[in-house]
Amino acid sequence: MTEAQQPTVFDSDQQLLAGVYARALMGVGQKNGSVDQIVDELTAVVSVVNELPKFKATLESPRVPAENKVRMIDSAFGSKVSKDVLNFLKVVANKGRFDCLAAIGATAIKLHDEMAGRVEATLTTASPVEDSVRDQVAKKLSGVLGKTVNLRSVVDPEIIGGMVVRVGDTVYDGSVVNRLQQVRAKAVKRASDAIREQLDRFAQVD
Amino acid sequence: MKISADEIASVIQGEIEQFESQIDVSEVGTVLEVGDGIARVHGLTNVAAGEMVEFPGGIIGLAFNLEENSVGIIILGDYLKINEGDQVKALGTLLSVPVGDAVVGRVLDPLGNPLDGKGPVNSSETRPVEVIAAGVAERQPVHEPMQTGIKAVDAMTPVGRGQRELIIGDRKTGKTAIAIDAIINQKETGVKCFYVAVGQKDSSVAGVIKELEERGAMDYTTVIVAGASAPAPLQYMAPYAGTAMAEHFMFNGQHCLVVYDDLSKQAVAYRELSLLMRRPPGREAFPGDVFYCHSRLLERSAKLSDELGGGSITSLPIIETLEGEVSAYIPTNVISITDGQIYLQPDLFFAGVRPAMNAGISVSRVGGSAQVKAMRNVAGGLRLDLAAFRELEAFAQLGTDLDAATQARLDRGYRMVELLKQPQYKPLNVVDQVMVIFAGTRGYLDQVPVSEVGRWQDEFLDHIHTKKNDVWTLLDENKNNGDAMKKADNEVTKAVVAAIEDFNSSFRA
Repeated sequence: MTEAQQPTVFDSDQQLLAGVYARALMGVGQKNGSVDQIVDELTAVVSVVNELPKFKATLESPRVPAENKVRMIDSAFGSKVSKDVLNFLKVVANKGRFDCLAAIGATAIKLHDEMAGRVEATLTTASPVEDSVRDQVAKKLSGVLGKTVNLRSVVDPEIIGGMVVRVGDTVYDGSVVNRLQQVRAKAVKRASDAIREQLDRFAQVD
Repeated sequence: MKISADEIASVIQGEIEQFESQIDVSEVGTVLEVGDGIARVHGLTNVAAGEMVEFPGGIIGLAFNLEENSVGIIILGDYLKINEGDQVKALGTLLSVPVGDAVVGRVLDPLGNPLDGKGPVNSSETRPVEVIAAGVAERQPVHEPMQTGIKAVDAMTPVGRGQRELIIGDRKTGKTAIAIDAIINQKETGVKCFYVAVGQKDSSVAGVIKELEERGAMDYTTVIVAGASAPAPLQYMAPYAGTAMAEHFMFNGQHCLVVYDDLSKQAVAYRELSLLMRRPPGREAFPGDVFYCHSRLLERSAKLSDELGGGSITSLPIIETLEGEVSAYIPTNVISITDGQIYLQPDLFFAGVRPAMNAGISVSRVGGSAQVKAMRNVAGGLRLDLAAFRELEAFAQLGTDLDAATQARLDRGYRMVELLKQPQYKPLNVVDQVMVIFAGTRGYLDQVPVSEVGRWQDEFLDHIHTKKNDVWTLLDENKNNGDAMKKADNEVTKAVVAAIEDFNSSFRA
């Protein structure tokens, strides 16, 4: 797998479903004014479930009846999370959508960020950057986008130098490798155009 | 040849010195799945339908399906080099092809890349492949003739510049032959020709190119090839690419002839794409917009108004039917879009009537206004006469005794059928056509045995060209005169009649 590739397999149908569930959960949170808490708790639940593969498999399995899943959820999370999240998990169990849980968690975080005016961005550099530089980039980006930028940094030696910032689907590419490619493409085009226009300047027929 | 590396180095150095880079802002997505010439991509939030995208390694794709969670991309290149998880970049432009004089005489793929080994296409101009056709105000009615050089076509289903005339028939009925003859006949008329081969065997395309080269037709012809082995997206794009190249000439006041060989295969390629994209199948599993696929292509053939230079694109789309089934989905669609059709029949073909055109159901809806006047005067009722003859012939086979008038009509019909036969790659000048058809329809061949009609025509034309060139020139000068060949007392008619009678007296059957 190359650097450009995404680490996980992406299921767009699951994303669609997750969006519906996450929006519903956020609706509950907004009504009760407990959005922050709900998102924190859901993130915790998702990480716990991910750490226990057998538990996860049981919750996802269509062979386990929904009542058993509800009972398991009650005993596992009953005293640890708020009523809203508990109820939500039970709804997910009853609908047999536990396979979407991770996606629901991710979507909920994204929705929460959106509501709070935060945006995720990735900063790719060739070598690790100092925090001061990172903060500067984050500040500058926040100014441009009008949102609080949550900057994640990634090191990729293949870009040689400069930096690449990705916000959502938009990539701001200021890397050395990109510039080299551009200069190469332009120089090759220029040279071949020039050769075609005035061949005698470049070659002599013997 | 000595190549000076220093000169090249200096050009490159200059380019590097002047290079100013700006931060490259682009929209990206990630490949979810890829195969069969299409890819599904997540991301590319703001991509537009039909926008170009770039895969790693410079492979180009087109945004084809915009869905809620993903974008369907058709890949115009080698899709085997694309992997799941690859980053896709939106380019913010539409697909365009090189146009201009540099494409003339070339063999290109639908993206404008050369396939003939004659070096890169030396053109600075490009034109988007998909554009909206010229509107009502930008056009004028079709009125100039576009001579195909084929007697049967020019006499009975005349094609005008800016017309779309469908060539339809079963396999092996001579559809391509008509189109190739039409291209060959454009020699020295200044008409630029485009032969778009879609889904054809590469061997047959090579045969066509060789034939065009041998007859000097490649000097004004461009061949666009998306062969049977080309991926479906390229086969689907090829006709649009060819039309874009022709439009460049049309908007510069020139005339073009585009042959789409054939649109049934393009429809099949489009069906393949649409089904892979999970668009709902309709009749014969074609997608719902297959009509639009052809109508928007053929609408781009036009005769522009004089203010826009009066250029034109004439198109000869070809449709292959199965077992003569003209009421299948694609044939009916294209018949309804075009301004007429030339219907080729296998039984006529095998009976030796070539071109195997069925006069009864072949029509040209533009008709006489796009015909040389002298031709209209001599061939006016020919199509209906020939259709009536076919009916009469079927009746006469019952073996009943025929009255003299009916027998005469039959004899005239046999001679006309014989006269309209024409070998491949032998297009005839319109003046020659007018003379021989005049002789046939006015009964000057009634004394010539049916089997000798072909020889009569050859020798007569030879006689005219060598001994009676003044008559030929007279008719050529007056061919657009409304009275020429119409009334018996017309000066031109008299000269032609005299020439025919003179020749007949010496012709020995």
